[in-house]
Amino acid sequence: MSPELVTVVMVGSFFVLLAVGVPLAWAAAAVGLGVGFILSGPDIFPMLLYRIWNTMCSWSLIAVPLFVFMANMLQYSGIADDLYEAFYRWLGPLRGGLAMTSVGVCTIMAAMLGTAGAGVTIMGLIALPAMLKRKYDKRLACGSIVAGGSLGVLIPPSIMFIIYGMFAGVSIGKLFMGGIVPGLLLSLLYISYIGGKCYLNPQAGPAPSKEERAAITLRQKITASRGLILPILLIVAVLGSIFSGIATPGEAAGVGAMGAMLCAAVRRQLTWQNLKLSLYGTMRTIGLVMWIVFGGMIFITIYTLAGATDFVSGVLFALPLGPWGTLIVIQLMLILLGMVLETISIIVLCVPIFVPVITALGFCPLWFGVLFNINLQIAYLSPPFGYSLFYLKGVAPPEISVTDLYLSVWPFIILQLIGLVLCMIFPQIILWLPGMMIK
Amino acid sequence: MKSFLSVVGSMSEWSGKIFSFLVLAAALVVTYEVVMRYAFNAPTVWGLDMTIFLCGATYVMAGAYAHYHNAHVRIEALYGRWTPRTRAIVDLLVTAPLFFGFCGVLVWVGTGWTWEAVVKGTTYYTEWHAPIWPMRLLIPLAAFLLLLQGLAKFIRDLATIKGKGAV
Repeated sequence: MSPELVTVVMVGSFFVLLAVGVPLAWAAAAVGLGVGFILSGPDIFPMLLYRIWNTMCSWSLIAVPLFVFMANMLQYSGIADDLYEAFYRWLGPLRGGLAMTSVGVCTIMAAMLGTAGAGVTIMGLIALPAMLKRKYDKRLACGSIVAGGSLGVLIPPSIMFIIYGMFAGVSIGKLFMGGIVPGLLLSLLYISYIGGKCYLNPQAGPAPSKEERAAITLRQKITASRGLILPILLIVAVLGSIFSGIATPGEAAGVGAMGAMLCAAVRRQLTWQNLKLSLYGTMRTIGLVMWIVFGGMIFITIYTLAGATDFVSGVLFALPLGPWGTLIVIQLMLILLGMVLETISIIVLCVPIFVPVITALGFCPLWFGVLFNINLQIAYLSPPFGYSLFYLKGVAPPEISVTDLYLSVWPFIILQLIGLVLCMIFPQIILWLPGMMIK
Repeated sequence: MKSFLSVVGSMSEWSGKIFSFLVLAAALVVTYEVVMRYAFNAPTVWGLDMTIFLCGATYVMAGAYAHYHNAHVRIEALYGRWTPRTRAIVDLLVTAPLFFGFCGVLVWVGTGWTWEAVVKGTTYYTEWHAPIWPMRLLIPLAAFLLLLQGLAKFIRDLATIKGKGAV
């Protein structure tokens, strides 16, 4: 089969299968196996099995289960309540303070959890009812939570970076460091926007009454700040050991998981029940992530063998847009794919195609990895399929309609685009911190 | 038939639950290894490989557990709007053959591959030289559990289509 035909058959049947609701992992694996069988007969099967075997023996991937376990344990430790309390005491008296609190808490939690769903779910349960009670603009309230929660993917530790690093052959530790400054930049943009909007239009996020404000003493503020100690210690230990080169991401994840259990113990939440539930939840996430990796790998292996990867990169090289134009086209494709496909599958399927092109165009694959991540941030918020929207819809009170959610994200998507453009114009935003690493 | 479904269900459930504790074990081994290396300057020969095996085992074994809990991601744009009967028909006619094909290949090729490792006595290439077959065995085993789980789903879908309601 010619590469053009292979592309039409494989990509076409993959999307048709997805559209009728075949789970992603099976759709990718079956299309890969089927086309592989047609092209080379059953001799191809052992090779595909060998790809699965290599994944099982991967030294980089151990960071995935360990970070997921750490995140689950932290969720059961109830540390998010302490964080919320600490931020609330300081920011609560301001106009829009609750929305700023949600973004702040999400930013800190992003440095402990590797995915977007957890932050959105937790803030949707704690912060959203509080904001609605205080008559916040519904759209501002929802937007701050979905945008803040999505930072979980960008700010390390991040499952996305682990898988990207493995498939692109880029240091996972450096990717982690590369995500920190852009993550803080986005967080700062969100907080400034909320503050500015509520300052100009107090109706959007009314401040509490004078009596309520007077009721919060400095002493309470300082007491509540103790809730920041454990999370910050854990973050410094995990990210600091990666930054200084003491530990690989996998080792930092293992020690971080122990740290999370310690946090739970300090908060008297390390029960047999919580430990079991954290482990079972970890197992479900591993199952869904790893089988997508297996399926995606089988698909892309066959696609590459058939010469279709070279065909796509040839088309991209032939675009008369210059390196920057091509980079922008690739990013638009990633955003569009991110709106319909699951994150891990996009990495497994797109990295082998796009990263060689990006490198050949003279761009840095580390820098591109972080841009890729910001593209997914945008996709996470984009209606109608944005994942963060679904997570919030799942826990939001019934007075929040789907339309409210769809309309809530636009200001934040614009902020994300501003952040993306800044990172493209000033690559140092991404590359400065990884460059400071010892190795 | 009901007992077959419940046996398959509890096999997925219990294998998932038991294997999930390997993640805890991996976290312990990693921490032990890090402490031994930095505090006592005495890294173990087996720590690194052990962690990889513990984690690697969960990757494959988590498949059936996630299937049992319906955690494998699918696009719900159309599927989510269909009636349970339409879903059952599509799952039966489209998803099931693909799924059985994939898992079947893994069981078939994986078993041969494991047997080869047993006969040749292949060991892991690192310093520890652990035998390789127990890890390889997990691939066909995990695929077999998935296959059973898929069969259970197939039977449930058939019942839904015949209008017997949920089994």
